[in-house]
Amino acid sequence: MEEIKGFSNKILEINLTDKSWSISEASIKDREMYIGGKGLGMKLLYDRLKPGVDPLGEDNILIIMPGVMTGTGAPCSGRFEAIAKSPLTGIIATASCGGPFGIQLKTAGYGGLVIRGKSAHRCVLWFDHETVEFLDASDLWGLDTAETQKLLLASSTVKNTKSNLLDSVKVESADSKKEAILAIGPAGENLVRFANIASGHRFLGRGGLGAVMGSKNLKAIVAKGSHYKIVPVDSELFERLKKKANLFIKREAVTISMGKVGTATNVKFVNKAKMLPVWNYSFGEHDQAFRISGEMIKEKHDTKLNTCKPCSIMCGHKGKFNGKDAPVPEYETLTLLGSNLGIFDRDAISRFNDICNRGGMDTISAGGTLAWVMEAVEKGLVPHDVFAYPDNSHQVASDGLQQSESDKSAQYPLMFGSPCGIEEALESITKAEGFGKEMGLGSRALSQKYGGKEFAIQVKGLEMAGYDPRGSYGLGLAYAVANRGACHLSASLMAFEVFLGLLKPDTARAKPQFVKFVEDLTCSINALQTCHFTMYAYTLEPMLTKYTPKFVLKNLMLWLPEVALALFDFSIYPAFFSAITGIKMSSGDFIKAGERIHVLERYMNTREGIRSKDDALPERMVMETIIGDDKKRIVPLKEMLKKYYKLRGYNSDGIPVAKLFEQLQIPSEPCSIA
Amino acid sequence: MLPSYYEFHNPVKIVSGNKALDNLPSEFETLGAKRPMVITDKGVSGAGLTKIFIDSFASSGMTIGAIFDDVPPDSSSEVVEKITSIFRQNKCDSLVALGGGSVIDTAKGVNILVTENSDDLLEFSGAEMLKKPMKPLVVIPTTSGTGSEVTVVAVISDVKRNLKMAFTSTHLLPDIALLDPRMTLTLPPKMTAATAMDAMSHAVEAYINLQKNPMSDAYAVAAIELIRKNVLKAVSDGNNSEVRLAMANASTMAGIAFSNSMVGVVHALGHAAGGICHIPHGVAMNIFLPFGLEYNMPKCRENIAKLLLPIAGADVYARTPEPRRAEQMIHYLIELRKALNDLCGLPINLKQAGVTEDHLPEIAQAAMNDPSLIMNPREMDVNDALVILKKAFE
Amino acid sequence: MSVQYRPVVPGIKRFKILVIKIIFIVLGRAFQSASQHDEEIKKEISSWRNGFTLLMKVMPDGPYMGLEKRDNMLEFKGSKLKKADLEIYFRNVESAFMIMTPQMGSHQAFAERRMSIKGDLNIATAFTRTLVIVMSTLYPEFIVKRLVKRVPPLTFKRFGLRIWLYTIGILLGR
Repeated sequence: MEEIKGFSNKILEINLTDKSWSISEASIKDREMYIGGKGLGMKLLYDRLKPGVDPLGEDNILIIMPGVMTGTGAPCSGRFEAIAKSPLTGIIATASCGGPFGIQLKTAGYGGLVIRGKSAHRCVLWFDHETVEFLDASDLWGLDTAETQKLLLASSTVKNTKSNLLDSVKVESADSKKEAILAIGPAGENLVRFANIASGHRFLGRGGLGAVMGSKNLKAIVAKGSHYKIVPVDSELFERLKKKANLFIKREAVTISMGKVGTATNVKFVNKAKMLPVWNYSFGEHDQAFRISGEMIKEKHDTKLNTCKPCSIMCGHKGKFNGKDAPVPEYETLTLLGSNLGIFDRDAISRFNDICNRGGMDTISAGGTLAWVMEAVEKGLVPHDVFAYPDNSHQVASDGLQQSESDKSAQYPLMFGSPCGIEEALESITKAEGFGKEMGLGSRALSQKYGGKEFAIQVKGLEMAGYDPRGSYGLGLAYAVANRGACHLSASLMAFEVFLGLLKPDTARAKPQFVKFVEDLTCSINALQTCHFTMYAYTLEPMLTKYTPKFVLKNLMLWLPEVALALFDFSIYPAFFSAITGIKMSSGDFIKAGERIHVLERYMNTREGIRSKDDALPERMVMETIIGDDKKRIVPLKEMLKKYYKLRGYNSDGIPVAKLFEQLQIPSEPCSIA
Repeated sequence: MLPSYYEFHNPVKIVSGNKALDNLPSEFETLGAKRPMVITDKGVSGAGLTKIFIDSFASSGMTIGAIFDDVPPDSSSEVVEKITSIFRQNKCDSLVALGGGSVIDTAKGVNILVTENSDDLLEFSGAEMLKKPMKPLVVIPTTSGTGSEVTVVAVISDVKRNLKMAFTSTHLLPDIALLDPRMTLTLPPKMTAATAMDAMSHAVEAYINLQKNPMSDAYAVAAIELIRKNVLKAVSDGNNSEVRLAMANASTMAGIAFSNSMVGVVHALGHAAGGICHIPHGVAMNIFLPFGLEYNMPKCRENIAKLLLPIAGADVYARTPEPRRAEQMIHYLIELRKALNDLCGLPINLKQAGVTEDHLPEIAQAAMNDPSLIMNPREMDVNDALVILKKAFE
Repeated sequence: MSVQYRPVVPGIKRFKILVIKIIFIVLGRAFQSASQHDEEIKKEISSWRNGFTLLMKVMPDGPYMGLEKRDNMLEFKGSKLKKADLEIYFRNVESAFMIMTPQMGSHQAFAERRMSIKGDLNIATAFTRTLVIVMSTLYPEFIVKRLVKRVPPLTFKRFGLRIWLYTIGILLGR
């Protein structure tokens, strides 16, 4: 097996319009400055994407990037990134995924995959280390994400059966382990604006990248890799770092509970902090929340590991739901398709999750949109029969008594607290049928058409994740300024404010500093491409933070955030970069790269029209308190936003100023690559 | 809508509160009694509750005539007769029932024999067979479910003659129901859940059946709301005496409600399933309640809909469209059952409760002669009963 | 001038008592006859022991309607029985009149405590079911509908029974 030392800067460029392909080279300088993954991908997109293009048009570009760590066998490195202009938000969307595609992409010898144009026919893209094929996908069209992947893996030597994929011999091919797939489901085909892309049982979830693939008539991408072996330049240092990293992960409470229980362990913290979304973020807690807690799921559903590969944290689980093996719904799914709709039945949530996963759409946005519809129906903004289903749950007994005739034929609307009709609604979204077609545009579009913006829980068009920011002000700021919309992973301040209890949640103090820091760090992590959750282990376990008494750390963080931030030791990340690539990188360089990536993304968004007015939270978060909240919390966004802009070096309208470009060495004009 | 005519009767004095037991001696004085006999069971004694009881009589100048702590789980006439003779020997003048349903029923049975000065309970079985005012009876429930502390009913089985005797008479109403949270603190989670759902079924059935009236309605609604607010906490945090007291109150209120408006199919099926397959009563109530409601819905949709308010709270009630409230009420009940099942494994279907499918026809047949059916809104026949049982099976 | 206070003796409701007596006779004969012909009634009473007596009684002292189970049928005993295993009381003449004429169904009468039961409640439950069958055979559906929760289906057989009752059953008790 051939070796790649460190990284490959070879970028596979595909043009679907004329079915051509070429290989370009990313510069070493860009590698140093943007690392890889999300960062380098952002730069590639910046150089290629014209502002103002239609996200679902021919001109949008989809970029898939492995990270620097991907394929090296480093802990929690089974991840890759996708970037494009989002059809849901109209701005840049990035998504990270732990499926098998990233490693195959990288071991096929590529440091990135750029897809432009639009195929005239429905197609599957197939590539290995030396060639690229465009296969006909008409037989796969309409299949769900699981079936599509199964068929593609089963049809041996895909590239020889150009005419008809499904006629090919369906035996488990020896190559199948070397192949990994990115596939969309019906939602992506039908241009559901929050359609996602599947790789294995994991997803490029947010921002509607599935619809981008769908709009390009691209059903799936098959990467046949395992041709190269990725070896770090300094393997001795690399092994040492691996050991240390695993030790940190094994010791840190957050990562331990992720491994034991999964992300659903958050339910108990969030419910206790009264920031669990219930009934479209009307309430912040529920006495049945324990039913969807990770601990309860573990106890009742016989859960087993079902993780990204490779992984040391192992947050992914599967278990028995409705009598079948199914992935344990993630925290976001449990809240957005559960508590936020007033549902605490785990089997029901698992069914909803399954429909979304198979159909290929984001559970957060799907759930957020459903909640908006429920509230809009309640408020009379949307006619109650736009999405209605007959009720035939009542059995006729021997006296023939049933519901009265009028009841029998009546249609009932979607409503909070009732699972009735949700499965039908989700199906209709994926199929773009009836009102489902409108729901597939997301809650922002719906609220623009029908009214009810104040309870459309989204920022910049992206539906909010399952943490109510009124219980975590820092997260509120993070939601408002996150580049892709109301994203909880841009700067997961709720972890510091609520789970770890390091930062007082209901104050504006120190939040802008921490949001900026965590945003930058997260960008770098996504560029290096390792798991987001390593952040807790790698920053909290090093000596300095671990052995600083918690109350000292707490006060330091609150009153002298700059000093506290200087204490945070994340040096293991740049050390990994150096060990793998042989390029020296300090902690300072690393965080600066993160800042660069973040600002570049922001700048690209401002080119699409994003201004300060868009850095806003839903009215509910800044005007209304959570029902029953004694503290009457609302997010003091204005106050935090002003400081944040100043820290970031944006002007008052939220646009990065020229000086910042110089400082970060971002070219103010993209080098246009046609 | 008011019924054209109704009766409501509840002369039982309620003494409720933390350490309410301390007031018992003075209550006995008011009742003119000096030597109460205590009837209880081994479980209650074992949990140390009898000791708390005795301590509360210290320095009161009263003598406890006797303590009988061997009441079996199913009250039987043999035990009643045995206790009666102890009562007479020790010259007691009043009774205390300290325990759950069977202890209370046993005490009521003893009261019949000592009052009527007889040795055969069978003479008095049936409705309204008792004419004389009885000896003072104080009931201290140690489970929060049966509501027997405020009902006119006692059920005692005659093992020798293989009979289940039911006694109903207003004279069977105790004088005092004493609710002290210390008496229920030790109740294990599953029992807490089962008894709570027993109380829930009393309140819900009292609210929907034909003998409902404004007084029983008020008690039923209040009971349901208290149960909703407290049951999950009571099951997960048994040591919380505030919550325990709330559950005891809920149970008593539900008891008052159903004692004055009777129950329906849920109890008919529950009694039958209990008789044939020995499912604990609370467990059976938990299993049958939503199915009974669903069955009755065509006849009493409005009443079920109104119960959404106590069972889900004002916010949910207000935000649920009117035509869906009845269905949602049942849905919330089902969700509550699932929550209890998650917390303590309380069975939610007959299969989990250990019933085999071949018993269903027998249960259906037995349910048909249950007097609870008379006040049920919908006339159930054997086929209907079987339909409900099959739905409740899995 | 002194006012004289005398005991007041209220009158007797002769007409209503007469009507109740007549209906008791009709109903009693109907029971006796129907218990020999209707399958469901036969089934209901099959488990009662022989010699089981049942009495409907207007408080405080009559009229009465007694029934006795004998040889798988219910024998009408008129007002000969004064005590029975199962006694169903009407609380007063007015209530009995309302229930018997029939303006009120038995379940509502129980709910309003116009009727009460002494004795075995399980048999009473079964008996109220047979009462519904007899009533719905005797009276047309538009009357029965108001009285019972669920009108038993008027099968061809039961329609035959209705004709039998009106022609032979009530007169001869067969």
